[in-house]
Amino acid sequence: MARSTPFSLILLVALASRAFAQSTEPLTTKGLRLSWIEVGGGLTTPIFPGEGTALTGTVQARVNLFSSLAVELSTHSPGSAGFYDLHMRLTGKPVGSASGFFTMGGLGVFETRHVREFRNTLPTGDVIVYPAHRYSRVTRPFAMTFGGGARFELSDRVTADLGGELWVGAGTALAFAMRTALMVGIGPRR
Amino acid sequence: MFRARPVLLLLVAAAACETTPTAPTVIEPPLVPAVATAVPLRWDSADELAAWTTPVSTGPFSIQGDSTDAVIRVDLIAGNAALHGPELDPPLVDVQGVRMRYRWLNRQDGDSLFLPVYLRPPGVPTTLPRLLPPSSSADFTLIRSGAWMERMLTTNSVTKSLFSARYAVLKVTNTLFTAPAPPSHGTVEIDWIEIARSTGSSDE
Repeated sequence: MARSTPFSLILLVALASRAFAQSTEPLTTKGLRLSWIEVGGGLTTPIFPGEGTALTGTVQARVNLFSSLAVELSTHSPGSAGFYDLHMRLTGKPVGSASGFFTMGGLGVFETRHVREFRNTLPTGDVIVYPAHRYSRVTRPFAMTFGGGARFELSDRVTADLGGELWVGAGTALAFAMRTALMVGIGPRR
Repeated sequence: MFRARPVLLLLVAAAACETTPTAPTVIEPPLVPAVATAVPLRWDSADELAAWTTPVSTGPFSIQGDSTDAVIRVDLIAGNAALHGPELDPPLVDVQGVRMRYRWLNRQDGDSLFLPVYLRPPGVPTTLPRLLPPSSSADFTLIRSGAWMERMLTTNSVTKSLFSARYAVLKVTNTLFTAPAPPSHGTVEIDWIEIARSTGSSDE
């Protein structure tokens, strides 16, 4: 039996959901179907109640499983560590060049950094060499995200997202994040 | 209708992961060959003590005297010494401590002296057992007098465990810390050094 990966599980879940399978209309105003994959980036401003706000760069990728359902992975980080946001995204029918969308998913933390070589000389004269390496860590999602916004079609492959997201963990709102992103469809269309 | 179940499954699928650090490597000091001793694991004569004063050892040391009257002399005003012992072949697995006969001559008020012995276990060492002489006030008075002392160096641990060792390194130093301390005066003489194994162990 083939080994399951998170992505294949996502695909399986989406295929099994009849609700998502019924929406088949094209989602660009010019009657074109979406690209399978969209990549892009933008800015995210999480507001942490009582703690302040931050402005971070966001890089994200989206896989359009159906015309209205997608899986989206975003990273919000000022550098080599930050939050990741993995969520499902449901997009409504376009009205003019805009369409509304809703998201729901999980938020976790990732970190990647270069660790320099470290040498420790022992009293016996031995030198213990800890080699340079790249340390990387991804946590399980520790918060749920609920969001929404509007997508604006700039061309048949370029869209702009404007929206917000509530990060909820342990029963309380951790932050509200304002998000903007520019997405470019790549590869074949669905 | 949008259902929560796919999202929950999606979250379960997102497992945590972390890279594991690369295993450390060791750059070892040169090997000091083993020497035959009249009493197993006891270095007493000039030839035997010479195994502790090879070029691998560092500091202002010399061997004075002949035969079993010989001593390793360390001139403290000239600096600290690290006496690298010979290889124990095969490595020992039941070391209780290190026994030593030594004295400190011509010390001055305010001088300090430490005689830690570090045991080098086989493999990649992350920590080293450090053995020290007893630190009673009687011993303190005795060493200040310049008299010969014969003591067992052990860990301060309440539970007396046995140690593995490929070799031992004896430091003659005025501090146990990395920060430099004012030099001590006088000379330390070491008459003999012996590695003590647990009772009941058979010599090879």
